[in-house]
Amino acid sequence: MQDGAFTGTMQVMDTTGHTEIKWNKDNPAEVDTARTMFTAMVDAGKNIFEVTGKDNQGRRATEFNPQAERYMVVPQLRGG
Amino acid sequence: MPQILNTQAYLPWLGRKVVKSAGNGWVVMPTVTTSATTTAGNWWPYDSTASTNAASQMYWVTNQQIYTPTWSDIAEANAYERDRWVTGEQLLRQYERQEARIAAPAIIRQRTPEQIAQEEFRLLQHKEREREKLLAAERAEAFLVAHLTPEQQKTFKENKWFIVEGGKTKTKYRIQCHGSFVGNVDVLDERQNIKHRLCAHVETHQVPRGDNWLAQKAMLEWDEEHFVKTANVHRVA
Repeated sequence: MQDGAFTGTMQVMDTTGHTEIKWNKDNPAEVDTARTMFTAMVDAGKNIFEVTGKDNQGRRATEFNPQAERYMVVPQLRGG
Repeated sequence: MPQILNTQAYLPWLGRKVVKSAGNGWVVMPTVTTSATTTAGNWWPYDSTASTNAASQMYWVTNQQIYTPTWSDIAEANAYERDRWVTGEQLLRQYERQEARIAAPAIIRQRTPEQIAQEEFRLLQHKEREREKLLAAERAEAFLVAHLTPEQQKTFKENKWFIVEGGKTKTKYRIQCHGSFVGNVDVLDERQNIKHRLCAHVETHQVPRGDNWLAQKAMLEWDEEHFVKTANVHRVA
């Protein structure tokens, strides 16, 4: 990605704490990669929320929006 | 090496040699007092062809003495002790095995340099894994704190809990962060008393606990219905 590029971020909770996947919104290849990963995670049953604003408002997302600023990917929860 | 002979025998458990006396009895060497009592003990036939009728071929051994059995003793012994009879040969084999165990030198296993190197490598790997887990835990907690409001950060730091508002019903939930993420979501009433508890979390091996607490917060705030539907309810006494 070029410096100063308009990027989106997917923050995926995992064993390392979380992993960040970034894409340049103007780079079709990166957008495609991010979309593929997004779709795979939705299919795997993960909860994906688009997070906006400084107060971190979230909204469930089922389709990838390359213009989104940030997604938070939460694994499935189970009753305990 | 003990031997069972026709006229004498060595009894290893007794630690004594016995010799057949001129009569029907056996004498322990050095001689000890024999008794005619029929105290229960172990029957040891002198040889494999011992006949139950040949009283002179039987000896009745306790830790202290040997008795020459009477006819009635033999009958009684036949009835109750038959399975405990051991032939002289079996006795010898038992003694040999016991001696072999005592005599066998202790084997001290020496590790080869390769084995030592492998062990040290495994230890290093273990330490690295532990370090990674610690880093992941710290990263997850920092990720959680970054998503808390100043008020939530304060209570998290001071009391290890924070309160979130359900996105749909505006119910207050207190997420306890004392270590576990099981049954740690208190459902509060208007006076912040606990009505009941909810338990829903990510599988333990998937994410560090900081991520678990953040996942609970995110679900409650952004998809409360899904969380409540998934969670198990724990009543509070």
